[in-house]
Amino acid sequence: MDIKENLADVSIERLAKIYAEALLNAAQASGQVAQVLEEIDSLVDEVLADPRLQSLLGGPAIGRYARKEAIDKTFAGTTSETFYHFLQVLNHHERLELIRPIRRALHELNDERTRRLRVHVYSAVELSDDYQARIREGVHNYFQLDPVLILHVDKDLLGGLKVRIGDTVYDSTVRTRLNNIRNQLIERSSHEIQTGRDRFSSAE
Amino acid sequence: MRFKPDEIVSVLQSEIQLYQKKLDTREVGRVLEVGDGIARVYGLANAMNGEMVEFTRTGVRGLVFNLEENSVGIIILGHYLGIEEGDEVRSLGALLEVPVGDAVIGRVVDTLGNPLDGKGPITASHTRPVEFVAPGVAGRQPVNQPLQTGIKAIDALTPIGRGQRELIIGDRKTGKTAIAIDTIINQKEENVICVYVAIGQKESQVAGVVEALRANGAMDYTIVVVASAADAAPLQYLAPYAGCAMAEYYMFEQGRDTLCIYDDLSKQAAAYRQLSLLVRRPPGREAYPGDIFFCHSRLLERSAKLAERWVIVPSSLDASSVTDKSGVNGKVYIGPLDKEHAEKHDLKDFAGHKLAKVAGTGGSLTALPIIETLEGEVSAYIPTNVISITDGQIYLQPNLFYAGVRPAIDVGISVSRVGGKAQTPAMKSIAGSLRLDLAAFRELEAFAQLGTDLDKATQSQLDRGYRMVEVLKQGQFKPLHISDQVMIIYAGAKGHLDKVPRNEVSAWEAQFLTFMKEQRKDVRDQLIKDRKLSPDLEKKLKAAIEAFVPQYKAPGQAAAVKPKETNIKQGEPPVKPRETNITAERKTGN
Repeated sequence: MDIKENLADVSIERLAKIYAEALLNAAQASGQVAQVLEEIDSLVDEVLADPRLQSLLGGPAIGRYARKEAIDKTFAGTTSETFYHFLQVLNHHERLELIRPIRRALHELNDERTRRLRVHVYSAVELSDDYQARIREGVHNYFQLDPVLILHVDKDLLGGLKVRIGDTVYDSTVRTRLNNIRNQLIERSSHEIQTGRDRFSSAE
Repeated sequence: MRFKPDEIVSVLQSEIQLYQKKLDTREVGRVLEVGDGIARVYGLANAMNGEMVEFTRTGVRGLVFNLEENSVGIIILGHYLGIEEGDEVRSLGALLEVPVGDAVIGRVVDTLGNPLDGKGPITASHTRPVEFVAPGVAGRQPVNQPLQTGIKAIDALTPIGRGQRELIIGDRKTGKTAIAIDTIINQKEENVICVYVAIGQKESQVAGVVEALRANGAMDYTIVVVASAADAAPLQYLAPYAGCAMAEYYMFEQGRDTLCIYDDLSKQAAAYRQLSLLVRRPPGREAYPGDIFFCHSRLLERSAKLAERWVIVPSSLDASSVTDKSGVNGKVYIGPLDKEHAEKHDLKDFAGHKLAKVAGTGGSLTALPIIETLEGEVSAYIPTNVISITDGQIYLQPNLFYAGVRPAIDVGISVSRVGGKAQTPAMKSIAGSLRLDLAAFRELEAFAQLGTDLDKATQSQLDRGYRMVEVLKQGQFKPLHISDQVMIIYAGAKGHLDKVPRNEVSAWEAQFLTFMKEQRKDVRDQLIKDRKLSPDLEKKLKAAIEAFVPQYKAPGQAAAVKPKETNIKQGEPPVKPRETNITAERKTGN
């Protein structure tokens, strides 16, 4: 989970959802959903990762007409028609700086429409294909959704598996189990000792 | 001391054997930002307001305080400096609870019920939620039993009933806490569980209070909850609710009378303002949030006199085993009116039966909130709020305090709206006119300061007033039994002190009360038993005062007569004056 991305303002989130829905509808109408998703990912992750291109998004230095020309020169003919038009609309409304939240909202919306579920799987070692298939099957049977596994390897878990779906974590890692035993032993034993001190010590 | 390792091993072994492997499922979020006792968390989509959460890495607990569109505001109940951005937060699906019951009595604890007195861990068998809905209309009954503070000015003029909320208000250093402490000390014989909640105070001051309570034997029935000035704002905000929950246990579960002192709610309001501003709630008057009134009203509404439930049971049935289902006619009589009806009508149909109270009903929680004013400004936001919530207020005035009138209660503007109904008949009969007399005296006193010549009647009224003011003065940690209060106020109000110099009134009072305890014990005992001043008893009291007057010795001479007085053992008949004995001898011819 990218914490910084989630710091976005509520009103920005709302705006982003509106643009994302419009883009997804347009892409679906033209049958270019996969291509548009790929293009927006590429734009954010690769092109805008370069700090020199940050000014393309917004800021007072470049006006909307100058930016329009830049978009024309860079994206016309090289991207799908839907995505090119989308960038021009964003620029026309001076909303290019919303591209990152729009991308996130677009993915969420697309997952929802295609009944896909993002599942984060944490394990101490890399999972075999067989294991991944079993997890997919389990999640599918429980949620009736098509799972997209995002795998994380964390040696500190010692063993077992931790699965996060949305805000819910299903944890059966060795680390958590050891912690639980530790806490339970301390809590119950201290209670036992406090309630019957004579049993554990004598005055001699 | 020798430890028995085998026993410890056996406990650990059984715990390990009984450990059940189960999938740990939790709802989580991530810390976005943290500071000043507040954390903003992303995630926790299903979190509810007031729900407990845990910061997984540090183990610190928090409370959901603000639900926003894409984040959750959490107040941190502990050290927040160890919490970092990105830390996992898990919801615990439970409300904040504190340990309650006998294990907490006599202890000094923090807001979460952790011990602060170094007397080891608290192993309480029960817990109660910190936030609890106040009893409804049907669950209550009118306040009808007095809560004796042992302070003459309060018990006579602004009496407090069990289940009442009486505000103590005044500037700093006017003796607000002293009244609260004296009230706790006076509950020694009254079977009242006391909770003292110290909010935002200096730890040294709290230590002083605890020491005073301990020295007077009051810690045997008192719980002290401390959220000091060094504690985080969330703990200061929650402390009164935690203290209230500890008292509620005894009221609801055991039907006992309890007293809860919130010292003071101004600081709690300031802590709540800090929290609210940090979570960006809109500020209102004096920058307090809009729900500051509700913050106090829901706390003070939890004070109540619960309705007593009565049933008709066989006379042989043990009182502790009476339940709602014990009634032979299947009826439960709720409150005083129902009880009266049962006594007058229904009980007659069941010979060999009695009316018994259902065990654990009829408890009460009396609240004494304290508010500190600035320069006597009672029309500030928080004082007016709390004045309007409570059933009366005791005003303490700095000018009275510095003039030596202690407790510095301004009897003119202090009121008790429901306590009068709970006042003992004896006190009611003598205190009825006292307030008016004192008010008239204050007017005259102001007039007399102009230096005009006064007629004899006015002068005598003034003299009486001066002496009544002296009578109402009382030292700290010296609460008086209600019968002693009645006797001394009677003596003052009926003019028996008029000839005593003003500076000797306290000495007269002390000697008089000793005299009554030792030589007129019968009068005092009858007053305690009857609780009312019948014409016959009044005659006896008057006679006793007249008998005491010649025995009174001014402070310089008192020491000389004291040994003679103390030789009399309690319970012995009063010694008659020498002359009377001689007359008796002559009459019988011996």
